[in-house]
Amino acid sequence: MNPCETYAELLPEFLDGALPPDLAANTATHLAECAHCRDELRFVRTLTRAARELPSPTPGDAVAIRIMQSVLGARPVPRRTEFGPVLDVEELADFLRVDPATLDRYIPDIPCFELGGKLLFRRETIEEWIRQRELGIGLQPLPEPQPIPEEHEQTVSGGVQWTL
Amino acid sequence: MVTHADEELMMQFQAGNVYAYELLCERYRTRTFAFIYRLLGGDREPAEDLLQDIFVKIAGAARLYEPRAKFSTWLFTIARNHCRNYLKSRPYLQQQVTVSADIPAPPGVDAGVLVDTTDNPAQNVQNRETAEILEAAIRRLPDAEREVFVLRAVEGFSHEESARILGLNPATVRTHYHRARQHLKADIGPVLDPTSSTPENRRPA
Repeated sequence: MNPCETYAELLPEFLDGALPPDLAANTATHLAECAHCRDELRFVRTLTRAARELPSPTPGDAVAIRIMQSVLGARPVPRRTEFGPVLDVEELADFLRVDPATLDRYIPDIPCFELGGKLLFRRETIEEWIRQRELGIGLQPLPEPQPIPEEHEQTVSGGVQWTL
Repeated sequence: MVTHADEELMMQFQAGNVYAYELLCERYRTRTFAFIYRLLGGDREPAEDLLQDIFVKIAGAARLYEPRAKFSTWLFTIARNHCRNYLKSRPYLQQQVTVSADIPAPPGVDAGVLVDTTDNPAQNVQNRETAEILEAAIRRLPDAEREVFVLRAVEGFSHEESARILGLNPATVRTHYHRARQHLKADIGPVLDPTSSTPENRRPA
């Protein structure tokens, strides 16, 4: 392979600044001496610019819908609708009808216990926790209002005034 | 507005957040389709079917994804393998590609949209014509050269990323890319750069 062909192969990486410093320096020296390779460099630039500016063919709108329908249809575990007295994190997400990523943000606020390195939740306690968070007409205050941890005050404080 | 990294969205999807995946699909749908479309030589219908298969496959394999790998590299590796398998199962496609290379503008491609960078109408027409000629010339490249050219020049992947996507030695990628350029220069060089001459009469002594 003549030196021009060797350098011609390196020109795109030379333009990207992706060559090791010594090889980049050798290429620059060769370019300074060789009109043919300078011509080649100009072609690489022109071709790359034209390629980057090519208009993108776009898929039909229906494809996006088909993709998401298939993805949702392919979800391995459907949302559970029946629950036992103790729930794990995934069951709790289904019980509360939120995705696990959303649930993660609320975990520190949700009453739970730990067993064998696993966070577990009593369904009864969770239902009570939900009641404490509910706002609106028709709800009864708790008979003995429990001291509320500081971080709960903002979300729950309005709730203890419930009366019919 | 907070922009989440691809890898972060993929992790959220692994944790069960389907909307994170919808965002990723939104982000990569057109780009992936353009890649497939070009690898298939401009065949729209199978390209749309493959696009769907690829995003469904990735959703199914999401638990295998590790954030150490760049999501776009992973996605394009899967896309390229799907195209390869499809082309292997369609040996008569090459004929169709040769025919479609003569079609001025593939359906669904408004060749003027992205190349109209000037208010000069004559320049716009010229840009559009150049884009169409380049697309047709890319379709005429041998498969291996077309893959490398589309990844490197059109999609802007680095040399190393392209080698990873194609499962090739970087030296082989370099050679394919060089050959693709030489083919394109011989084919449409004067159209792209009217001041240059063809390789035949510019060989150094």
